Amino acid sequence: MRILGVVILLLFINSFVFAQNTSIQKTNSSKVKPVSFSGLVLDKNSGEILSASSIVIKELNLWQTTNVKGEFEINNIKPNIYTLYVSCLGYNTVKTKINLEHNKLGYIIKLELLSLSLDEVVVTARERLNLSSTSTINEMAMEHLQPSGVADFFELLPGGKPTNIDYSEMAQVSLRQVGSDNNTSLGTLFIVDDAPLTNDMNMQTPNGGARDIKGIDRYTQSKGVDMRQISADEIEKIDIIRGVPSVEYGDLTSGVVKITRKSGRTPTTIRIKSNINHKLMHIGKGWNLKNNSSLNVGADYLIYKGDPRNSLNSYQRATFSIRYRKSGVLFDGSYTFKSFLDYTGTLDKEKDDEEQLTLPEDKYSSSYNKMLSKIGFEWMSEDNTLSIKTNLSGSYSIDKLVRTRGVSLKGPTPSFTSIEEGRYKSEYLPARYYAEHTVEGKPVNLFLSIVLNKHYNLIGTPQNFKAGLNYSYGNNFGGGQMFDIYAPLFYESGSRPYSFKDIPSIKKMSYFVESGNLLKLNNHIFKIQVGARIGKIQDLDDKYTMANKWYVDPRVNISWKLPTSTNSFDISFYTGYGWQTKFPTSSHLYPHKKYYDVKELDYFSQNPDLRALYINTKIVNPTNYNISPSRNRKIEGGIKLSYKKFTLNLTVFNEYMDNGFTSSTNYFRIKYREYDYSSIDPHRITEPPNIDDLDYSNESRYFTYSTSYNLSSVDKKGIEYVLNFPKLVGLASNLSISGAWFKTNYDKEGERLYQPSIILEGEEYPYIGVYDYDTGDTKEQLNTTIRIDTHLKKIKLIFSNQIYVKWFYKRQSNYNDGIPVAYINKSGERNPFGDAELNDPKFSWLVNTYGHLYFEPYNTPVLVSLNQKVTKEINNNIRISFYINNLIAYQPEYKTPSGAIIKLYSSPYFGAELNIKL
Amino acid sequence: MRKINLLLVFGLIITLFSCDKDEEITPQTKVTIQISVPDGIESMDEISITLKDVNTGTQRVVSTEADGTAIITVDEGVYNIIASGEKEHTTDVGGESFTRTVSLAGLKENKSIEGETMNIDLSLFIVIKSKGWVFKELYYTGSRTPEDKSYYKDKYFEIYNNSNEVLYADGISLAESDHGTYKEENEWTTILGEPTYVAHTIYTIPGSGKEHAVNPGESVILCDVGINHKEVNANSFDLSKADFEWYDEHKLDVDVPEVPNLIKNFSYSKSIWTPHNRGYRSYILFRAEGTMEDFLINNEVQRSNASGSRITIRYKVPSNLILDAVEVSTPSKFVSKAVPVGLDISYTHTGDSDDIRYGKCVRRKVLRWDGTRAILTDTNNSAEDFESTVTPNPGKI
Repeated sequence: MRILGVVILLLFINSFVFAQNTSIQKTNSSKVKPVSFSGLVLDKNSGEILSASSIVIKELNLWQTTNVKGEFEINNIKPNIYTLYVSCLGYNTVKTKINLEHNKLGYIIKLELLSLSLDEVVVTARERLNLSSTSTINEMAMEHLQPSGVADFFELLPGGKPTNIDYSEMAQVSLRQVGSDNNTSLGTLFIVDDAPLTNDMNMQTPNGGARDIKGIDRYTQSKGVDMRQISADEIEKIDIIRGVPSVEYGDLTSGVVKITRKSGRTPTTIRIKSNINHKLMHIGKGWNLKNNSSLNVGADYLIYKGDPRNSLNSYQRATFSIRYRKSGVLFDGSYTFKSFLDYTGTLDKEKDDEEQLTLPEDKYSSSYNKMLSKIGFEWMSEDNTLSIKTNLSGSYSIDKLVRTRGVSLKGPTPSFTSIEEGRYKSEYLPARYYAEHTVEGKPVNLFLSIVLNKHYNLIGTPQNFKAGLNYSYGNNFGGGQMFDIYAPLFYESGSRPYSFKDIPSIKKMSYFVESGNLLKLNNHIFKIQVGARIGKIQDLDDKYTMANKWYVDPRVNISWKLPTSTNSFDISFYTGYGWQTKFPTSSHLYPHKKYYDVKELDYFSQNPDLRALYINTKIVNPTNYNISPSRNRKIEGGIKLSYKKFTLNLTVFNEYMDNGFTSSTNYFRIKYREYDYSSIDPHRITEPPNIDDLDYSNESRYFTYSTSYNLSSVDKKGIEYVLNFPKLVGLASNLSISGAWFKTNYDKEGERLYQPSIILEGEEYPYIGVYDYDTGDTKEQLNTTIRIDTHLKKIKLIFSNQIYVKWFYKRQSNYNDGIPVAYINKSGERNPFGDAELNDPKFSWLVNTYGHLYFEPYNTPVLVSLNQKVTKEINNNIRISFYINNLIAYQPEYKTPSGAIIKLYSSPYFGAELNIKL
Repeated sequence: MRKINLLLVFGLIITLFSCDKDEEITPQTKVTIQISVPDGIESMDEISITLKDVNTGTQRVVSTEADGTAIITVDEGVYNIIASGEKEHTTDVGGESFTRTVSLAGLKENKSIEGETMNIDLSLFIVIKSKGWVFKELYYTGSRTPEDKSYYKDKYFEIYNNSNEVLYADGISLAESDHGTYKEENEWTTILGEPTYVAHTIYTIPGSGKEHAVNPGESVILCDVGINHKEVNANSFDLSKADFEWYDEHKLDVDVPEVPNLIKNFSYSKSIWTPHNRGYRSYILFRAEGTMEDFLINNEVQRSNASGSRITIRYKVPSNLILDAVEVSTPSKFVSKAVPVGLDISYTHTGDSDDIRYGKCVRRKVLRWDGTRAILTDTNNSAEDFESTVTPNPGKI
């Protein structure tokens, strides 16, 4: 509530200031006359005018784009000397000091085509001090990295390490941590050209423990976006926000990956990449059309073969994108209209050749076909003080997971076919049958965003006020899990068909407000960005404790730049603090019901005419109505130093989430009858027994189901560092050193239940143990990446040497004593577990006795590897690149606490690619 | 004078002759006994042979020479000849050699010894330690359907009354070993200090003590599902005459009412039990003294992994309770024993190959016939006692 009050206060100040603004301006104009700055942007070589170039006056945060004639004009500038940035897609950005103490009109700026023959080529991720730790990767760095998908970019973040992505399983996001976890992956927001990607309505998992052939975790529900599906081509720039993001971004806990794709004229680009287990082809082109519009088209295809010996296991991805942009003049300002249409299709195939080599019917395939479209409209007032941006995006996907098998039972097996609760007469399954199991999802997602930006001046310094709203709608129209209950493929699981269409839609509404202020005091520059975001799920049934609740995310980022000292030593400090909220997904809120079947009479007589099977089915709704969004609290601080061309970025952070999503097991008892057939003689009866004629005893048994809880805790601490050295002119090389120290603690909170799954004297074990200790572990790692990028202008070649050093890796299980805090008996009564129970042999099954080494820290020694990348421009049109990772790997053998000696072998992996620009 | 000397000499001679005629002389026979020893025994010397006169009870003892012969001269008569001794015995299976000391015995009853010389052959055998009940067939591999798909609910164990009196099957337990014979080391031996059989599954034949009588030469079949599996799988077997079945109260098992159920006294899993189909685990028959509840409490054992998180609780079976034990493994994977050496020195198997083992079992060999009753061989050496990889023949010899 207090936070809301602060926000309201800010609103008042801003509106007051806004009212004052005009009068201040008038006062200013009578004292100091503002200047105008206008000019033209051209291609240096051809003299061609460059429209849609951007002109930015850094200190004023003023920007404009050139019109169709390549012209720009900025008015009402306070006379001073400023830093000017001019950039255009495909060209090298120009940064220069410009004297605007008087009017400057007709100023000509010439830009050079991006090429390896340029002086300045940046191939690493730049630390952008945009008031929050952000890594920016631009086109040149992307080309040099030779990515196959977006997952490869994470290698460039501080603490990142080169990996050969395995496309046979989901590529999960790992951010600022050792290892990875589902909540970080779920909590990372991916935005492509202002359209967010979401996986929240995906429920493609055949339930009942039916894992796929290899047991590989191919299922992506509730784990965030599968990065395999995002192509790395057509991208102009990627910003990965690791720190506290602006309140404009919501429904996230960890970070933001913002992808800006190319728009505007681009030459025909063909890219072909080949690697030990996958191949990729891409083609794209962009045209500038008349009336200030442009059209960009791109397509790519990726094929991955996990095991070269097995051609039946493959992953394929095809994407297609068409993007249109038009700018023009509207009312007293300019507008930009952007729209795109994307198609992504993936196909995951596997064939079971374990036992049934000859049978064609044993197959697995998982396909995903998605269309994503967006239309966006942005209007900016002529004086650049007000902008309104609206974006409406929608996606529709058809996901199909199909398994077929010729089932041949291992012996007589009962069948469970009731979809209602209660007792019923069932049958035994036929000895062999053909089975098909399909999971069909059709998630639909809509997203609307409206953002208002107001720039104004306060005491001559630029300020910004932002407000807006997000609305999202998600639903799934798929048929869900579909199969014939009389011929089930997963007959061991006892699951039933269920439809996704029955699951309610999820509607989320959020509002946000943010103020960006700049303050100058004796040449110290203070920047503060403070805001709040408020959101909720709409129309949620009152049964949920979350219903009608608003969740508030306050966020603040402050930076302080000291005045530039006389020996060009720049230093600035920054800090950020904020909350991020991620709403539960469809499978958290609406898990499907579970079926439990108990045999009450199993009379499998040797005479088929006498067989009788009676089942009692119980249905359980495993919904946790207390589920709430997971929330992450971030705090970070850092320092940026620059001296001449040497820069150092050092960030210290702590992120803590104690209510992440995880699943936990619940036990419940089912009461049923056990019919006694001993009173009838199978050799005498002529028809199957009827339960009404039989005696029975009342029995009960424990069953389990798992459901989602907010019990996962992730505590991330770390220090990230990025050092960029001035160019070593003699070696024509840039040296950069980056890395991180991360310490991550993973934990599962709450009480856990466990019943030993044994049979003792004909009965199941009578007690359930209740445990409430930590079951997580802590991982720690320190690594450094030293990059030497040698740029040989004359031969147009960049040769990068990357030395990756992992100084240490440590893992330790969080200690607990293994003793339950209570136990539950057959009647469901809960009793404390004390010394009497500890000494009673009946309870020894409930006490966890850990091996003496279980809590010992597991350390691995230093690991050093050398990776190389080469990019060579053959002529203006053709560029080839080649990389080899683990060229040299130093991995000494080491001893584990139990005395085993581990020897690591890393084989080098390499790839090559060809880039053609026509 | 000369007349008296002659008289004395005549008297002496007469006396001498008289003495001769009074003495009775028993005829003696020089007996050469040639022993023969079973395969796997190298030496034949130092075997002690006792000849006991049936009528007088006198005993004469002689030891064999290196060539297995013993020469002794005894009075003619009717004797019981008993040989006994201890020798090193070696057996080879799957490329491994197992050596132990065995007790040998040989017996010839009521042998009439007469004549000047006599040759007697005596063949020795290794002492049987059977208590009456033995495994006759172990069928643990399961079969394949005519479409070559897996079918494993037709497994069974056939146990046999190898004695000459009526025995009762009540309370006999079938157990599968926790240790797998392919593992480097039997951790239980290290934990408990000496080789001990530890079970992870125990199924017991019900009954108060005298309910299930089994005649000499008859067998009891314990199976998974007691039906005629040929109806569903032509490559399987007819178990409709099985005596007991192990029924797991689980979705994937069925209860055949015509075949009584075993008591599931312990299983490490709540799910269905099926014997390991490669034969990596060993089986025993035992009978608990007292109640099963007491047996379980008294014989609980635990092991844990140095870096593991949960202990494993199982149950040991003291050797003196074990009626019969069979070590099962595969020639290429056998490394360590689950059964103490005294109970089974070696192991039996159904081969290494994937396809050949299906639909095959191991069967105890017949030692000899007593009329229509077969006496099965049991020298606690399953490599020798069992035929490997043969077609199951439940209920028949």
